[in-house]
Amino acid sequence: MSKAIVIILRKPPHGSLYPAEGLRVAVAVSASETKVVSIGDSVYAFLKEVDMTLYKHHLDFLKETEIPVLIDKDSLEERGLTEGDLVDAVTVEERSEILNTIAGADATLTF
Amino acid sequence: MPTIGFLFFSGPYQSESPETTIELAKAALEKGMNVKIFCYMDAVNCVKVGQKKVAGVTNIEEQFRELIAKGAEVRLCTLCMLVRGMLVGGTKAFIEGAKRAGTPDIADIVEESDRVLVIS
Repeated sequence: MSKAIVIILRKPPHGSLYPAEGLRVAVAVSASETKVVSIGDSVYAFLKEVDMTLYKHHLDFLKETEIPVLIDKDSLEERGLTEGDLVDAVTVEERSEILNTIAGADATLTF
Repeated sequence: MPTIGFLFFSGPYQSESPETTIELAKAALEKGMNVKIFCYMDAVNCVKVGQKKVAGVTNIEEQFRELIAKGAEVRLCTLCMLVRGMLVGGTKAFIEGAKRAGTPDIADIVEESDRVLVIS
């Protein structure tokens, strides 16, 4: 049985390649039960206006294959953002749900 | 025999993350564990050949050679090496025993390991 893997994105899309690489790895491990969680400054990676050249194809793949990309609601609110600011490939969840997702993982890979 | 996997991100000579990874891997090997390390992003620089020895500074190349000699499996992100110009000269650019790999190897390491540590 494959493991439950949670990719945790933490860093912003500006000044780092980490969100792009995290999404690339999410695609790579997608044969397993995979979820992506976005917390902290990584939520900026999913703004409608942000340049997604490096990872839009990964995000599209995750959407097509129904691998959830979960955005921490508290992280959004702390930055004055709302769900309406984000692309529709992602789902906003309460912090408690995000923590449950992480707690339920067999392996977490942080980017 | 338990297996520990490392997803390792840091290049050498800027922080102590490579030393931390090396020491944890050594300790695991000494306890008889299998060790699998995936060098991602700048971490591929840790296995470049020809790193200068400087007194008082841990030589990361030597340490990785030692890990491989002791049985650690070291896989290198090929795309990360390509964009860093590390594939000029073929496999001679990085230490013997380290293997070219891709992100699907991360999936394998996760599946094969009892625990995975991420060190950035």
